[in-house]
Amino acid sequence: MRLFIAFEKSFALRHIGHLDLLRVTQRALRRSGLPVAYSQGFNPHMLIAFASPLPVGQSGREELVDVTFEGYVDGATCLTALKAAMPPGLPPKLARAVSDDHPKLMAMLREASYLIRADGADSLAAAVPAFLARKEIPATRVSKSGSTRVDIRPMLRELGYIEALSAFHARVSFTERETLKPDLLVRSLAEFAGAPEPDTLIERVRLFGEKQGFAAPLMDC
Amino acid sequence: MKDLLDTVAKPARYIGGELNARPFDMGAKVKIAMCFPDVYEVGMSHLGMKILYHLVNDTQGAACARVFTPWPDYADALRAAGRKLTALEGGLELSAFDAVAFTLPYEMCFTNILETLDLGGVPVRSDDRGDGDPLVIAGGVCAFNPAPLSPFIDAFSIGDGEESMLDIISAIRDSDTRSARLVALSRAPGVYVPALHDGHTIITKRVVADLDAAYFPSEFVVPYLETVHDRAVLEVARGCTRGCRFCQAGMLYRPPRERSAATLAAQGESLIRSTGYDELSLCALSAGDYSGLADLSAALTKRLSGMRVKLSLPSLRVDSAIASSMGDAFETDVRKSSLTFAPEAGTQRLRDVINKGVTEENALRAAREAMAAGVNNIKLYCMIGLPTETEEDVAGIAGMVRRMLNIADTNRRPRVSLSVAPFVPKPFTPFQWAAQDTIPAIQGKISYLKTRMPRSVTLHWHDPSLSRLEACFSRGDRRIGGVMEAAWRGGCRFDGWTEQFKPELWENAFERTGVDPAYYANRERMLDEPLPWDIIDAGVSKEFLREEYLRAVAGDVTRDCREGGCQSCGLNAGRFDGRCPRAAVHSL
Repeated sequence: MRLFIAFEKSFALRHIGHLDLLRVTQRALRRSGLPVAYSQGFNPHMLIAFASPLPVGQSGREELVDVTFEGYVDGATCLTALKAAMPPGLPPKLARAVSDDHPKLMAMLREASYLIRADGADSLAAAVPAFLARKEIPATRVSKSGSTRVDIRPMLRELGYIEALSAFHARVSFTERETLKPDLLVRSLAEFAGAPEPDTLIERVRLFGEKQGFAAPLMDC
Repeated sequence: MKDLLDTVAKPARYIGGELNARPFDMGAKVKIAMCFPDVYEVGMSHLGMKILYHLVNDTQGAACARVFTPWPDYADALRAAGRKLTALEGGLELSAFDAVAFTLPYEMCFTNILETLDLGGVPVRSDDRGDGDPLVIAGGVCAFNPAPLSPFIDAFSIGDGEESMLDIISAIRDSDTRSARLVALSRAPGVYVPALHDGHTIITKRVVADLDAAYFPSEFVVPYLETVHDRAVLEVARGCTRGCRFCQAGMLYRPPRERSAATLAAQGESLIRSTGYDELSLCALSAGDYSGLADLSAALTKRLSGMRVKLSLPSLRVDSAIASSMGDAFETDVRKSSLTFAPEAGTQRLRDVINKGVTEENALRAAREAMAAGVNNIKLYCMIGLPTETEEDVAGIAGMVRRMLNIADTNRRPRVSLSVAPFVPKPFTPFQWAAQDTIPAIQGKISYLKTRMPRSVTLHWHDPSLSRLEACFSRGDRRIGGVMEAAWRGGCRFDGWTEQFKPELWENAFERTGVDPAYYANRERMLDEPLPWDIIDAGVSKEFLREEYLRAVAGDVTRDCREGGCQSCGLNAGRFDGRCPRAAVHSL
């Protein structure tokens, strides 16, 4: 059977890379004594799949992993066992049973929301309404193969400034074809406001899928 | 906005908070910073560090936090920001501890000791420390010649640390001032305090006689980062009596002691359950010699069945035919499929000189069997510049490699790689009097070897200038400590890392301090010459080592005392009621 498990990648562990996180999760599952299923074949591995790797430097409030078990494990038991087995900076939050033919997390993923702390965020905040009012927001996406111009406006669902936290809140599309990375968003905003690119600290707040045509937390999809 | 850690490579080295890391007790009477003078991934692989970290934290009234030497990028960032190095647990600067303890696993990390102290706000020289400063303590293999580090270290712990550490904690707990603590430490057995030493009193190494009763942690801290040895480890035995004449560990860790299979199986299960590791390795100087292997394998199979644990055996000796007996008990790691041999020398004559009790026939047979079992890669380790070595011996290495390439009956050829290390004479070995080859001589031999080596073989060799430095440190005195400090002040650190090693800065430090490296590395010592480490009693007697040196030059082999009877190495003279504490391998 399969369980979707939500856990937090805390601020202190933002520097842990995805492969390290994968190894830590595998070890925690082994420690938990839960009957995790393994693949068949010459080199068996645990049947676990993360919704989306979190880049080094980012923390995550609700990261999701899909784990397949041999036989029945109820969510509460799983959560209790995992809480004892995970290291302090990666507390598990929720567990939800799904059927074996339920779509994979990665296939259901549509959007992600972020909390972005940036140097001089309050002065950038003033530019947000005008930034959002644009029909097109051209930005330069830099990758190993060079840089390309893209219009990020269609990928930007929501952008606001939360004064109490001195941080931006953004919801952006997150699919294989269309992904807007939060650092590119901030760079475009700064460019638009005529400010230098600020240093940022980024937290991924939640991943979203789609339910009846509307964005819904991926954990519930 | 950003923290220093956001600006350096691999910040996970510096955050702590791993699974099983102990909360730091700020109210503890004795606070110890346990330091490893190398980067996190190396230090977290060190078994002694794991044992002592948990041992101190399990001791009433004591708290222990870990410290690893920051990589140059973070060290420079700390200095630029005017910040001090803090321990992974508790966040205290090094200067706030009662004691800062270093393990000394190899010579090439010595400059990192000064680097770590300085970054932590502790004066690097003992003479410059006062009542407010921590005691700086060091133990481990390189403490057996304390001379080069004695300007910087307040107290050396000689020998096994499990019991000694408790004495050190008591000495600190029961006195308040720095001077009173040093006096108390100097009275503890096996502890050498340079500032209070009269120059001739012998310091005898500590020996844990019963490994079964010795402390061993039931859990390891599980790192986030992948470390060098990222697995659960059982120490099946300590000590080796095969008597290889170049091997320092083989002499220092005598007598050989084994843990019982029952104890080890329980420790192994506890480690696997508490860490979630899927790999368990057996560790000893010669794990293949462990007499309880069959019992241990059976007991572990019973305890860990269904847990998908891989069992791995490192440092397999050429003549240990153990792998096959373990093979079906556990999942074996098929991806590794390589076999490692250390014949150390290319001819039987020279292998007799160094008392490496393996023949080329042994090696070829084991390689043939391994090939039949599916192994494709063979790694060979040899030394050059060993005492009495001739051109024929160097050519012999190439000959042995050729025969290794042609072992298979079919036309399948193994992939062979050869690592060549220049011989480094070490204290407390029969070769402690021998000279190291000069750098040009070593370079000449490597070039010669290259011309004779089949092209399909991958040849690695150690930098000869690094090996010379290692020789200077290993048999050095206080003057070498001065060179080391000058080199560190000039910018040397992480010397064991090829990309960080700066030979020209070292040359410069030798010149400025007026010390000739050849005097330490390339000079054969007179047999009656006083040696800097004469104040340490490591168990084996100087007479035995001298006798062994002479037998080596004559090409006479000396048998392992576990088979050939007591060879009078001196270890049991006046100790252990005249008999070495032989391992009790209890049947289950």
